[in-house]
Amino acid sequence: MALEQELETYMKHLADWTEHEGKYVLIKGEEVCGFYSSFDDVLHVGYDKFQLEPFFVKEVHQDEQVHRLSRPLKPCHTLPAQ
Amino acid sequence: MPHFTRPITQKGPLLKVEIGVSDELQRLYRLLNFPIPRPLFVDGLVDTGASITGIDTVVARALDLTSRGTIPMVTPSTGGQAVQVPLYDVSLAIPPGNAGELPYRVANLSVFASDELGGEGYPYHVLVGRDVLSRCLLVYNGQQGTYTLAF
Repeated sequence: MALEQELETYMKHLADWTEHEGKYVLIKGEEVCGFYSSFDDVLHVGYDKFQLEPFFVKEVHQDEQVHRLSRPLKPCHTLPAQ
Repeated sequence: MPHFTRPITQKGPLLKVEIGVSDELQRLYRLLNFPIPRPLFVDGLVDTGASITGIDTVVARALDLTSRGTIPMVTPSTGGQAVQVPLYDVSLAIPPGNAGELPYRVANLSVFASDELGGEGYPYHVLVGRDVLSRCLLVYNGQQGTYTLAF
């Protein structure tokens, strides 16, 4: 899955981010680029800084909500090639 | 409050949904003078059993989407275990029921993708989950066989 390094960076630092609970973090590789109050704001900064390069956005939660589907759908981990 | 009432079909409460690249990505495409992928107007299902909205991978590919994050997700197909699932940023609009009313639009929305949507088992391309429905009023009238969505 893409963005594995960014997810690792998130998990590595999460315990230190209690003051940022509920904010959105922007991560590129191992670099934590900042915290933002809304999804719109973090996307705006992410696209400004990195344009079409991969970057990672996540809402910071010490105890993250697990999302649920009642249907037995398999979510994709990568988009199939055209 | 704009609203519409539709029949509940055999496939469930269906609606038309417009899915495009997120407004922030559109802004970047304009800055770079790149063409903006045309939004797709597809069938969606109102799904109160989904905590987050999902799209068909065909839609994701047509919009040339790139993952921008992940969430943990459990479905009956994940064996009870939460798996990290990529998310894609899109814009979503639900057309109003009457001329002159504004659509319900989310400029920047995180969604997951599944290649099982749009197939025989799931003949619609969007699952409209509770993240989108949280800003709406939904009335399911089983006796009349209709549902009403207000936003």
